[in-house]
Amino acid sequence: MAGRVSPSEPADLLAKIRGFVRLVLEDLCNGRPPSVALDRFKTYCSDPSGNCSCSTDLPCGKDIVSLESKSHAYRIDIMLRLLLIIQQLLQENKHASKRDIYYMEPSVFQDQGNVDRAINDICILLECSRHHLNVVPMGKGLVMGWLRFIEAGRKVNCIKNPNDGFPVPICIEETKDIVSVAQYILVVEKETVFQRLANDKFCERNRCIVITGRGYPDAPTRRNGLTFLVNPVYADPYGFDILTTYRFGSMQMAYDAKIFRVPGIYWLGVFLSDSEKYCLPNRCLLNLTAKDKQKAEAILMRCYLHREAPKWRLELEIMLDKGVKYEIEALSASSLSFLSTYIPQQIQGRHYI
Amino acid sequence: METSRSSATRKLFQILIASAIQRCRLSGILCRLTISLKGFYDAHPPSVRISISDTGAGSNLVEFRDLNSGSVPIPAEKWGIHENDIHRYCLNLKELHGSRKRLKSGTEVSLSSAEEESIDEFVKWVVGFVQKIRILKIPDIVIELLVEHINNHGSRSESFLQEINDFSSPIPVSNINHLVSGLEDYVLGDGNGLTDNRQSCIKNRASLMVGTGQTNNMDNNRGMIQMVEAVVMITPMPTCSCCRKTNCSATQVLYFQDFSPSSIPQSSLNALTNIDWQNHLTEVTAPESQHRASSSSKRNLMKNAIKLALDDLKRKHTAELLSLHAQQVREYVPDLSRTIASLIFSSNDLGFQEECTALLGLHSVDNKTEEKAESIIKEMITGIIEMKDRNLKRKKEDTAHCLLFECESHLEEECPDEDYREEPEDTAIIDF
Ligand SMILES: [Zn+2]
Ligand SMILES: [Zn+2]
Repeated sequence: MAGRVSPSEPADLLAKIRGFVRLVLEDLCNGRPPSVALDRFKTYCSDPSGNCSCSTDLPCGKDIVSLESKSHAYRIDIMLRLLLIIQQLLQENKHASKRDIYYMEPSVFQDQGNVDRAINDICILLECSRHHLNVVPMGKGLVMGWLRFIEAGRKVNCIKNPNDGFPVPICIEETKDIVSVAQYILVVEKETVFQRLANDKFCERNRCIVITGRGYPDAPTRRNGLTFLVNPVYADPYGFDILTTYRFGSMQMAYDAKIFRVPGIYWLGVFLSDSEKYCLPNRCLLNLTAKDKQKAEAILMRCYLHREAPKWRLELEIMLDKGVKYEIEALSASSLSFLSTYIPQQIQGRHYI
Repeated sequence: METSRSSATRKLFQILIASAIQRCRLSGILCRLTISLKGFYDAHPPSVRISISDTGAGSNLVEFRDLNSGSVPIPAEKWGIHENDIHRYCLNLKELHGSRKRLKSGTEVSLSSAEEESIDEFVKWVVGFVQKIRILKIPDIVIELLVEHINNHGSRSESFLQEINDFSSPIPVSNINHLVSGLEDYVLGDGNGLTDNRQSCIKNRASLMVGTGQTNNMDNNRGMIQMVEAVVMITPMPTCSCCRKTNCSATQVLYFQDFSPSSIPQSSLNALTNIDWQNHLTEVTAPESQHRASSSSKRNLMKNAIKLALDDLKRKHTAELLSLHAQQVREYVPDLSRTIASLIFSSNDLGFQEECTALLGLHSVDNKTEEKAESIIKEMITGIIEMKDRNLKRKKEDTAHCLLFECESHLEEECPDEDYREEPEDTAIIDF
């Protein structure tokens, strides 16, 4: 990623923003409401034939967002507010995280997802990626292991302290000279799992990099993982959803998905079958809630699972069939260091899918 | 108004009231119209005695004889009506000889009827009828209603006298303003002093939206002026469950002819009640024609008066009458305007700012402020939303308007603005 020439210099983007505002004013003068035509991108649909265009990164239609309805008006409102913020960021060469932006007016934005969607809309409108807008992700990821890089002129040498977590660099443009001798990258969903592995000195014993995105993965986590084999660990529908976000990109940021997704990612575990294999006590198995089931059924419809990841899909089907889930920590019930042996076993035995 | 099931008694009652009102109006002085009902609950069959007396200009028998050929199918023998159900019809002309110049006259008509199935229902109907007359606030007529319930155990009376200050306004007020004020009282359930069979929780006079329209034409042949006055009043939708469930949940149409409640053709009624008032509750359209007129020209007068009233209403209450979804969209206008203005004025490109202020028509230096730009943008967006909504609504109203007067072919041609139907971009708004 480093070294990629950006087609969207701040000056270009500022000119595009002014052009858009000018267009809105001209529309108003001609008695037309403000409106935006946005190419529609999606990472998946529910067409099981696999003949859809979701995998092509081409737009699948256009959304005309105008003042036709309340939801449209809201979408335009949020978009314009963000354009205003972005214009200021670009003019002053400052950066703000999506979370920072959300907290500028939480009562208006209501939900982080609305900010994310508006950013996606603006990326489409201005034909650029999010980081061009000086909008950075929330600096929440941690990384440790066999890695060294330079962030904003400062050398970060993770390998010197392989059992310490370092913040994942936020600004991609300022991250250079990434050097790694790792055999694989391990992405874990939960920070507790990350800390467990750190305590177990996992990276001292395994030549790898461990990353956590803390919840839903953020772009830099995924971007840094781009060239490596990655093995996350999950066992419930929501964990599964996060897994798909790494591999296929999120719907929320569908336009930018091609930059952020990691198509080569493997699912290392945990699988439902592991509960039998490792004699997980029954009390650790939780029944799927109605919401879990709904979520699972919706995910099963996604075209990319039919097309590109039938094995993943099968796992989810089994989960739905048995109607149970469990937390990854449950496997540590017998031994705190369970994961430290489980993970290398899974990799050596090629039990990932 | 129970147009569907009108007994002969009710029809006769209406006609008698109408002629009493006519006499009172003709007299030109303060008159009293007294309606007295006596319900004999334990009689066989139960019957009601009705007496209508007025102190208006004296009548003569001819006036009543005309009724024979009129709309009431009652066999009458010189107004002593001998039908099984309506009997003891008595006409009492009080005309004091020699005092004519002082207009000391009066008329009393009384009848008994056993036709009504339920006396209470009939009383309720009369009360409603009188309430409607009071809407007109006819100057110089005091309407009094006395009801006596009589059974074997005794009797109980109720008396409803119109409050004097209702009509004794020091400033002469036009009929249509009387109508507006009477309608407001009616809607608010105020000042009518009657047992309220249509209680309303809407108490805020300022929340009522009113449009009025007047049309008239001169009948050259007969030298008569025909006049129709229409009032459309919209009340806010009550939020309380009591009102929602009961009587005030729909459009109500009242029609008066010659200052007396009358019925309106069903098709016109349907058209009026079918107009989409969105979130609001339409109270009343009350056209009133001064003189009897030929039916087709009257229809046109009515149609135009209603149209004028609707236009008046829309002009005065554009914002409130926006469709629900347009209102929702309009809530974003302040934000949108502020943000667009900020985008212009926070840009570090001064040339761009110049360009934008020029587009907004801000030329003098004093005017080129963010606030000014914001308010212009706000006006523009609001105007656009309102216009789109109006166009959309007009399509629906055209249809209603065609229905309004039985849509004879020549009226169909008059249905305005065919071209509004051809805006394809608007169709998307329909399914919001
Ligand atoms: Zn698809
Ligand atoms: Zn109520």
